[in-house]
Amino acid sequence: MLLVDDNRTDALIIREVLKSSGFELEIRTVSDGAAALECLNDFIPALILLDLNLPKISGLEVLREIRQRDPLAGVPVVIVTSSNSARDRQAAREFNAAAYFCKPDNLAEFMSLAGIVGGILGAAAEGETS
Amino acid sequence: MAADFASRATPIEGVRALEILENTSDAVALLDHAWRYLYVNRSAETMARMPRERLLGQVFWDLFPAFDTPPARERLEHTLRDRTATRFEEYYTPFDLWVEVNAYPAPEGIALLLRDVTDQKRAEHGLHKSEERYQRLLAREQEGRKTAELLNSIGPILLAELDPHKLIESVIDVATRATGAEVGCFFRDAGTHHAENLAEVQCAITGARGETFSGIEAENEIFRGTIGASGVTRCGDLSKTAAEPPYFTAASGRVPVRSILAAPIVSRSGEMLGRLFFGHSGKDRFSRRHESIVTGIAAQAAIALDHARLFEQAQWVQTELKRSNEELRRANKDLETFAYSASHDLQEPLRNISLSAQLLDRALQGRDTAKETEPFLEAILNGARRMENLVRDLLAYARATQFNAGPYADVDANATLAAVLLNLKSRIDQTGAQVTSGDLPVISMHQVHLAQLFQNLISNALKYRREEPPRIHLTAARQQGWWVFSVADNGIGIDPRYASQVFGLFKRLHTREEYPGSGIGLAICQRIVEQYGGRIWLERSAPGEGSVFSFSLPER
Repeated sequence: MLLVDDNRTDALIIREVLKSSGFELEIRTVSDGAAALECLNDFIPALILLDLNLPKISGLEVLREIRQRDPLAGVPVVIVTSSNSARDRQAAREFNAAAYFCKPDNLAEFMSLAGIVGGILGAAAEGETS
Repeated sequence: MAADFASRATPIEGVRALEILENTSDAVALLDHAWRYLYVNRSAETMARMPRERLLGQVFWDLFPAFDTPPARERLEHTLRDRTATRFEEYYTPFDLWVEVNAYPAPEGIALLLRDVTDQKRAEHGLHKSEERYQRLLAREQEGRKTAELLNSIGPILLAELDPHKLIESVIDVATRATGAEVGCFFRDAGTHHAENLAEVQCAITGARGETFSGIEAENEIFRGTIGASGVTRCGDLSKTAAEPPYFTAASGRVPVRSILAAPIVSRSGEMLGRLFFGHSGKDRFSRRHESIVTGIAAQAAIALDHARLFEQAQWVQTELKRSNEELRRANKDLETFAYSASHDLQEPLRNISLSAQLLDRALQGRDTAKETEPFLEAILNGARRMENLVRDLLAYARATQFNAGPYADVDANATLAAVLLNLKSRIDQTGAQVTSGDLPVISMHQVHLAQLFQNLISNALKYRREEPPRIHLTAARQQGWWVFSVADNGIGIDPRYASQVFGLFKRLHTREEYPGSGIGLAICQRIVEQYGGRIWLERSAPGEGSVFSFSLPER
């Protein structure tokens, strides 16, 4: 799994949320768009958690690039962002993001991210086996 | 001899005729061919100022030599010689007497009828004189009227010109034409009244031949004489006072000026603004009338210059006002942008604090120290939550004007209210509130703004309630181009002393424990209505008696 978020605390919280929900996947963390694309040169994750507001290369551009790279094209991407704008949601949909998760203030709500990730991974695994 | 003269008629008629002759007011004399007196009547004695004894037999020309003027002598000799009557008037100097002479040929020689017409002549002469004076006065009056008309006609032209430079050009142009000058110029007084400082005097020339004189050297002699003077200067021939020609130097050749006319332009405050100067190469070209024209133009130019200066100042003030308004608008915009991005960016770290505290809280659950750490974590969470609310409200406040792009829509206030009430349904149900409204208008604005106004005012009415269920009533009334909306409640009311405070940003009249909230609702309302040029106010309120809030929005 690849986590792209420039906010260290957010990254910490996301990792904690996933870990406490029982995910045992390796989570690589990078903090800007360029580093993400660099990392993806030799790493094909099962899922990418992508923030939108990133330094250097924005999350939407990273997403577009991923969709153009053959080995990455099928990797599910979950947008995890503080932006709640309709424009960002629309763009994410256009680039075929698997889910759009707006970071909540409340931990209980944040925990639902684990459910979303689990669902996507489960569906992907099912697709592979069948 | 007198008898002979009368004896030609019948005796009685002769006596009668003689009597009439004697008593007539005209002087009558009969002279023989040698100009000797044969007969004189009483009036003739009076006129001649001597008795008939001294006249009879004497030669007329000897007695009155002053009468012997060529025309008189010639005429009388003509009558005597050619036997034709004649009539003429003659002034007899020794007696200061005007005499009308009627001469007739008589068998004895010549008969003279003389009448004193001095009074008549004097009257005629006087009449003539006064006629002359009248004509002169009339001419002067007409000239004066023409001058006044000229000055009247240029007044409005000068007053309409608000650019001082162009104004001076018009002044010179008009005055040059009115005086027939070949050159006209204006020396702006650069704050000095001394002719020595001529370098500071500016010069402008217009007029038909103005180009010829462009670049006048201001150090010229003639200006020394005119610039310092406080009154009008008129000189018919400079060549008499200045040493040698040329009297006027110009960069493009030297042009002699003999006649000059100069007048100061003095502002109402008494400040010397400058001097008008007119010149002509001919001598005695400027009359007293030209002087009064130039004086009049100078007076009007002074008023017009004052006027132009005031206008310039007013315009400067206006520009300055516009500039500072623009600055204020930009500062406001900057502040909005700042408030927006600050509150937006503040949300993230707050979320981090809040979520981290929640994670820590969870991690510490079940540990021995949990009891001790719980209050601190609680404090962190409470602080973060409050801060989150503040930031959210601040964001709403900034958004109240931030996203106002796009044209206004026709917004049905009734429908907007219905949507807002649906939004507030749970709180209305909780409190058992009754929200009613009169007929509300359709109004041109952004729908979100009207919704926000309703939402904030109604939720305030729901929040600041008394024990009994809230009753809230909305109305709208048309008032001189405005729609005035009012929201009346039966809540706790507001002490009038704090009426002006309630619209302030983060202003609260109660503790957070009594009534939660950040105190931003009414500030947002105020921001919204002011954006439409309207206002919001506390119509009436008293503690325990409810409140009525009103706001106005333009009809169109």
